[in-house]
Amino acid sequence: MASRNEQSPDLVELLATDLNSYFPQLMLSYQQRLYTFALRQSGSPQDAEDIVQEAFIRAYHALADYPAERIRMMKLQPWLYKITLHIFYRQKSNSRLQYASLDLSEESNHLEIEDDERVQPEYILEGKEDLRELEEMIARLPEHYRLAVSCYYFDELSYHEIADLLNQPVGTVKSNLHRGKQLLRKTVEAQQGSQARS
Amino acid sequence: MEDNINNSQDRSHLDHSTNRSFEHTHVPPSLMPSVLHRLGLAPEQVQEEMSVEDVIAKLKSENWEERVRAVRLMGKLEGIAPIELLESVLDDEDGSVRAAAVHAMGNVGKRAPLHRLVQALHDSDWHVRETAVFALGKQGQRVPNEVLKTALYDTDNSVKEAARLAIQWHASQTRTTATYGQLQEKKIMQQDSDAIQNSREGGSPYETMPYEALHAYKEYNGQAERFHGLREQAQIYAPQEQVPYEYGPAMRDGEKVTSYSLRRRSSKKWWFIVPIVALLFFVIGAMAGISVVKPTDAFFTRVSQAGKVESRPAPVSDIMPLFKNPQYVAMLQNSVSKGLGLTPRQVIEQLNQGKSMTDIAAARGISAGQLQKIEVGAFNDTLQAAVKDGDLTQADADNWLAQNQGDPQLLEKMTDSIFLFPAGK
Repeated sequence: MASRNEQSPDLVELLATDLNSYFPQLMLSYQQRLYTFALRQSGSPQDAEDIVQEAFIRAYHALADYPAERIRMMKLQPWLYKITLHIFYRQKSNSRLQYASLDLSEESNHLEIEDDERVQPEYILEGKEDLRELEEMIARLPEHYRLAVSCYYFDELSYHEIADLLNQPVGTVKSNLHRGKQLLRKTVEAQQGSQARS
Repeated sequence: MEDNINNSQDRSHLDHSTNRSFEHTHVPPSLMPSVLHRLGLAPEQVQEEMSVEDVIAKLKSENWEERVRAVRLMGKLEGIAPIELLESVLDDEDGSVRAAAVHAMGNVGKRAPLHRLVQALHDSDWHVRETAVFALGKQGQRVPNEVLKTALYDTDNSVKEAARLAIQWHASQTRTTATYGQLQEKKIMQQDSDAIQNSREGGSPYETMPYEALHAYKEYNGQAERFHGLREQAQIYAPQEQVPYEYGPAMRDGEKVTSYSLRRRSSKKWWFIVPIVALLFFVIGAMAGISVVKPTDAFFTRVSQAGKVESRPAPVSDIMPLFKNPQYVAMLQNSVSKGLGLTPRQVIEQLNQGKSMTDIAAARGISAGQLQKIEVGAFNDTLQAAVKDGDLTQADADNWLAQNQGDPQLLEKMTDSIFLFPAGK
């Protein structure tokens, strides 16, 4: 199955040739992914829509000023994510949105858990088929873990694309991904434990 | 444990979940029509015409989208775009507005204030820096390659990519200029010199624009064949002297960066005043306790966001973020010191005494060429270690070496900086 982040080679060529005519096609191709990405970060459908609208408008103005050569070289998805993320950061700092984070007080204990495939959170959740719950848990991860997990697993960006997006070394991305996944696993285990007790 | 994450199969565990997770997320139907309407791209919308007064008024709008539109409309005036207004927009609070202003200024030909474009390379917004690289890249030989090279060390990959592209333009323009210049030299020699002289005195607003910049300008704007004639042919080929450059508000608007240094090297007979003035400044500086900046630091001289030229060299980690990591700083210091047969502390002590890396090497019987090999080897070892640690891609490492290993001055300045200013101390 082709990866979702594979872009049509024709689209960048069309955008380089006639931006106004083909910008709607760019929107159609990426609005779903951008909206979902923004929704995962913001947790609010209204905020996500505002963020994505602004991202597309800023993207249009940027494309309008880029040389055609630059547009032809572009990887559209990571570039659009980058614009979206910057808008999210700014909006967040403006509105001071508060998110409930997973409890990190015992994070060091979480990180000591062995990576046993049998207790991988995705296995457990796949069984439960409770995808909203998984997204909610990811949304409650601390931001640096949430972004790494979300970009890698849901948006299928590569380590290097995530590193570029977050302006972090690849090693940091891998580490955050690892820790975020362990934190998720611990949360799933805790939930299962409480369900079993009740 | 990390292997589990690295394993592609591991990601596939979530694929199933992911695909279905998209099912319950519906894009609001209002999203796309709203965006297209705000951009004026909705099918029912008609492009409205605006007077220049309206455009200027919109520059002060509280809505950033209106300000971007106004700047872009002004940019379309190209040759007659009011530079002062565009410059005022460079301080706008919104990054897209500043980027649009930088782009517009890059298209105004020789009137482009290069110091403001160079200043924009240090903007806090990556897109403004990226746009500044393209705008500077379009100025041809007015902007030396070294300025574009500094953007290769930006923290943002989009800016780096823009720099690579702009450097390619620069290289191709230089080749074109050389070939074109040789042809034109022959042609000019066969022509009546009076005609050439008359053409030099013509009134074209583009007469001092070098061919390569004009070529890029025409090509970029799709206005080829607009500026033809003997007038431009006669004065377009002039070898540019490679000299250290300094950027600052003192540079005249529209002036070639290269001509700033050249102007100071004028052959007029007042040159004898220079050593007297220099001596006077040295004495006053010594009395006032002003430290004299080493010439090698000039490359790292930056224009601050406040528009002031910072005489302090930029820490190397600013232009090559890899060296924010003390491990790589130590690795490079050790490697270079070992090549010189000294300890890092001994090298630092000698640099602090005002010696250059070349002086230190010469005192150890090491030639400039050998020093360059030592520096290239040290950078290569450090970059490869960073690649191995996942802090740098092999492509970036290869690109860095390919771009810089043949530039002994840059290597020496960076090495100096890694010893003296490893992390902005």
